[in-house]
Amino acid sequence: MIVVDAATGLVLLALGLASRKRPPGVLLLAAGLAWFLGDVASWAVYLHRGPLIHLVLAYPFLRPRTRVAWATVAAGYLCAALPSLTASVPATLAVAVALVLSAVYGYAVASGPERRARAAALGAAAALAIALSAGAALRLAGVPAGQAAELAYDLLIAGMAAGLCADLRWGRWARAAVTGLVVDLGEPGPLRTRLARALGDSGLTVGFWMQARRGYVDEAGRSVHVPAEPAAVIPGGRVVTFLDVGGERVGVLIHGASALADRALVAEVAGAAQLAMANIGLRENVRARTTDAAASRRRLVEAADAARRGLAEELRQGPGRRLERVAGLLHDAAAGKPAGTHPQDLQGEALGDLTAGLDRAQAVLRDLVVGIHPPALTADGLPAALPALVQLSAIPVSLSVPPGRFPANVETAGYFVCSEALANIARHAQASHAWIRVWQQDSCLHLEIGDDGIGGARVGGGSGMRGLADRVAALGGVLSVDSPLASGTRLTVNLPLPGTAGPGQ
Amino acid sequence: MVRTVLIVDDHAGFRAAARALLEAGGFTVAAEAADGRSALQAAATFRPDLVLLDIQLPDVDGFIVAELLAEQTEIVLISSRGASSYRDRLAGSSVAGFLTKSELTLPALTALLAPR
Repeated sequence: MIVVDAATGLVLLALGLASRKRPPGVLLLAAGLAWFLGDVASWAVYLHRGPLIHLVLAYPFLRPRTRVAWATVAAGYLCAALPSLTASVPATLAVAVALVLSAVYGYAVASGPERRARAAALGAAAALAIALSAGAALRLAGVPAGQAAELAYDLLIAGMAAGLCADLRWGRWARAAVTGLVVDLGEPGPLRTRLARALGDSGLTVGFWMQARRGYVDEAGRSVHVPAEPAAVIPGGRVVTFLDVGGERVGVLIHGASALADRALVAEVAGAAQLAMANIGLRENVRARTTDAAASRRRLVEAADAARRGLAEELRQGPGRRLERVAGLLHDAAAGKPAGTHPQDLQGEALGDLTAGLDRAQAVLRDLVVGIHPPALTADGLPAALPALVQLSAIPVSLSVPPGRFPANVETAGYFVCSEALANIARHAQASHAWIRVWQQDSCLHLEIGDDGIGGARVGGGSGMRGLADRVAALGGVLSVDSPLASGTRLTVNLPLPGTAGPGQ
Repeated sequence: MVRTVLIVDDHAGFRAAARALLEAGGFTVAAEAADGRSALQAAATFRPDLVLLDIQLPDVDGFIVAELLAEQTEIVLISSRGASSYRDRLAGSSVAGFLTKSELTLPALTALLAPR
């Protein structure tokens, strides 16, 4: 009998040594040592049950995955170590029942590849619970524990340990879990969450090394602060593990001390992180490119607007002013008023010069008149420019516009949206009334232009709306048209206001 | 085919009368302007097919406005004075025609536009 007992202890130690690099191995070694301690110290006879219950409920990690499991593991250690509880039949039975229930619960709440590991643990839990409760049941029935019972206990323990080790060695669940993660990378949802679940560490931080930024970022592209020391322990018992593949840094995990005790798993996670990083790096690049494209579109629009404003100003200062004076002179000349009544006398030669100048000025003006930047917009913004615009419309337009200035590109876009919309209404809508409403809300400038006409308008219908939609999109805004037949048209635009506070501010 | 019209005149009463006449004739009056400067802005905004343009505007001479708009739209100049007052200038301008305000009728207008 002593042979079987010693053999069981040796099996535990051997299995523990064989898988010493992984958490279950550590617990098996502890159980084996406790087993032999029990042979020499009577108080420690059931001490091995603590690490075994821990092994089963935490398998294949060191940390149990659920609160229920935590509680059961703690109860198991208490029952194994405290002599008053060790001998207690109800306490032993309670631990056995809790062990099975915890294992079932752990299996039920596990998902994906982890569930396969939990299934193996479930079998081990059943074997261990039978071993625990059988002896207690015999004692409860008043039957003395015979050799057969002891033999059965030893075999169940050894068999359970061997089964778990076999699963750990050949079950390849860890690879499956991580491979599952890699496969999942194409799916939406944070990698961090899946890794945290696989590693049993809800506080896990994942940082991907970004060469371009010379730093770590999370999946959303936010910077992740990482202590410089490798394998550093940072406050809160967190550990920094750097993930390197082929000598290249791919990322970093900041995790609980026990979550990555398994070095083999670290290698797997590093491989997965490399793939994830490549994936995120791609997305990051795409994002940077689209941001660049949007910025360059915006710059183009802004440059065009600035040029238009500059030309309009130049025109007002130069040819426009001269033209008006010339026009006045010519007008007076045509009306037969004596030229001499003007401050500058109009001589015959000067008239020729003026006519030539007028021709040149007209040539310049002719090119610029279309789409010219309205002076009122530059000088006083939308509250001045929109009333002037509305006044030109043949159909009555109600206007509501808030006082104050907005960024020049937003004002320009807003103005041209309104002017184009009014032109469309005049041309196509057959409306009797229109309205323009401008307001600021949620760090956007909102515009609504509506009419009571025939409807049926759409973006890209050859109405100049396409250009407007592009201009609005270049500023990060959205333009939409609601135009059911016979029910009027409502054009809505929102233009983000850079540098303003968020919603509700 | 002429469809949308911009009416430029500093008298609101005349603009209203002209608008009623034009709309009765199937035109769509898109915009109205009271001076040369807003006429330019209205033309840029509404891109009318026809501008009915008073020569005597408060700010700029109507001929100047006409020259500026001639390439993008058809223009009919109007005035309360007769054509003789502007004979030389009308001859050199690129407008579709001239009508005194009292001559402004649909047939007269259509006749001016037809040859183009």
